[in-house]
Amino acid sequence: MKYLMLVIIAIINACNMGEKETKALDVKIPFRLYSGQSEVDCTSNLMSLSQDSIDFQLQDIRLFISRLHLKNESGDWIDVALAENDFQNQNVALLDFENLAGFCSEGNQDLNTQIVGTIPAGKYSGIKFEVGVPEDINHDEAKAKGPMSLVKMQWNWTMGYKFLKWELLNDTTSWSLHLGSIGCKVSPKKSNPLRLDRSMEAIAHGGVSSSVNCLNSNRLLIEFSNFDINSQELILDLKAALTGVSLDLEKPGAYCLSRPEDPNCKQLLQNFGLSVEDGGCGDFCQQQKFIRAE
Amino acid sequence: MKPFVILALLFFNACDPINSKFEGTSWEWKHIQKQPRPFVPEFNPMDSSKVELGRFLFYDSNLSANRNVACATCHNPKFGFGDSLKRSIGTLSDTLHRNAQPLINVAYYNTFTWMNPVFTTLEDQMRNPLFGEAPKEMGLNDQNLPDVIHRFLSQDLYQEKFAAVFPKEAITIDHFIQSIAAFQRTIVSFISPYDRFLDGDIQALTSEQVMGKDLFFSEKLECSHCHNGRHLSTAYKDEESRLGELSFFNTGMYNLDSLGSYPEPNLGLFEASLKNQDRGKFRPPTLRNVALTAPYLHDGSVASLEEIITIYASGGRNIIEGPHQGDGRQNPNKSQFIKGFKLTSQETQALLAFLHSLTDTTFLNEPEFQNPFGLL
Repeated sequence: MKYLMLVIIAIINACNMGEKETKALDVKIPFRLYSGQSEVDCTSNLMSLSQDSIDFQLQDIRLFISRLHLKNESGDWIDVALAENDFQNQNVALLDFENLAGFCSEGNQDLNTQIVGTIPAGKYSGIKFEVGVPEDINHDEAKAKGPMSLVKMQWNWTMGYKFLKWELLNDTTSWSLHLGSIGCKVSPKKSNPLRLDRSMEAIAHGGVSSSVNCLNSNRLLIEFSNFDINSQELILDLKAALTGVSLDLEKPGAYCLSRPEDPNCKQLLQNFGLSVEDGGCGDFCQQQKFIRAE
Repeated sequence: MKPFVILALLFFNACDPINSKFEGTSWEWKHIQKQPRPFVPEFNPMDSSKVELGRFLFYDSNLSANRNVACATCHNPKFGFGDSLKRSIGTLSDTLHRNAQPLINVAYYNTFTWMNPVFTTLEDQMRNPLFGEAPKEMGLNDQNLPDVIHRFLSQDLYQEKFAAVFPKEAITIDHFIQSIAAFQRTIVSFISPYDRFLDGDIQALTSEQVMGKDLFFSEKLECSHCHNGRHLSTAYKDEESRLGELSFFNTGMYNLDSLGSYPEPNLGLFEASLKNQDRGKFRPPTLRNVALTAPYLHDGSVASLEEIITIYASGGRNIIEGPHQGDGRQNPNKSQFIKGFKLTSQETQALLAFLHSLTDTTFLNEPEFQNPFGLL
């Protein structure tokens, strides 16, 4: 018995030793905003952005990134723990290319074009992440902290967030994309019968707590199996995202609110690697055109 | 011993929610007699000073970006806490998508707004008019919010009221929302002539109104499948309710295509559920004070009670020309209870007389619900 205890202690010590030696590696992933081959910002003229060759300027472009992983030498995907700052909370980061310049009028002066965090030391050769807010936070108002507290990123009618808010303007018209989970409904959640849930939803549903579930997730899954974290950047290409998209500004509702039947949603959702039917990834995610590594 | 203590604690906790609902509640509804009290979420208990603060906020147009629209602008007691427009106008002159809903007995709905099944409390719903972007209603956003809150907290009146209701708390928009919701939950009435009749005063309705009531609840007209119970809407919840039941119906008002679509931007429950069978489905409104809340329907497209009765008598609305052309009577999602009926002119008058018996003038003139700043 004593011998066994010693062995266990030895193993625990060995583990501790191991951890001490594994230093955390600082990770900084830079993002840039492009239209085709040119870097753009709020003051840029976005020439012939869509298939209809309409020129625009940005009014807003912000997006949430979550579930950031890097691939280690054994091929396993390892979580990056995001630092907490104004733009990062609960492992969700807001990329913000809006700074009140030009036509941009929706946010504030601050920009955030990178994600910072830590990962166990090692060599990494791939990156994957989601554009979106994870489901366990997406409908929980109590967790609306950090960038999730920005009301313009909250999508009240779905009780969730806009994963990507992208709005364009010119002198005569405007176009906007609000991408987020849709087809949402409230349903009772299974809970521990010994623990009566005291939340407001719980009372509403007679002591059973409830949750919001959505049919169409609309989270972009982005993966690059070869990515050098020391030298490469991720490019968000607005023009590529609008490949083959007609902005149809003559029709009422010049927008895509994530519904496949909105006038210019269908092709756009496909360009994001999303299934038009259910907003899932399916076989499409690797065909996304919006984000590339350079 | 220890397991026993833990078990005992569990039981205490289990009982707590039921008791705590009434703790610290210094509010009693004046116009509720035998009816159950409305559902009140545990995080926002009723309190008379909170209700009073909420009433000031409800009537204060400082709560909109351009200081020109208060909650009461579209929810005016003169029109049964609705407005007289087809569709209301926001702070930046945007025409809103839908007809403002009368707020009488709003606390008894199980979901909020015309089509949204995920708003299960007034607090959830209120962020939409405050922060909604397309169209803008009150026009609040991240930039103007600190200034808007300052407009209130810089006044002694509000400083004192907020401090009394939320002592030592840093005031955020959530405190505004909770206070306004508490006030809205007091806008409750069960004392219309119809209620007095149900409570045993058989003189409260005329014989014509009684005839109209019997028609209303008959299998011939089928009105009560959507407008049932004291609430006169099946979209109902009270403090005793254990099972929520979603209530959305298509009443055959439009039929734009083979899917039974309604015109943009009001597709009905479909907008939230994405299911084709939900196209054109909307939550039935209560009919209390319905004589005061014209025009009718989600888009205000029906001008009068006479017109809506004629449409339902035809089993829906057939629009024969224009952009919304289509025979709503043939809408594939139409409720089976909208099947049409024939009324004599005497019966139509009786039905109208009954609908007028749902008007509650005592409620409308109740000082507790009126604008504390005087007439708007």
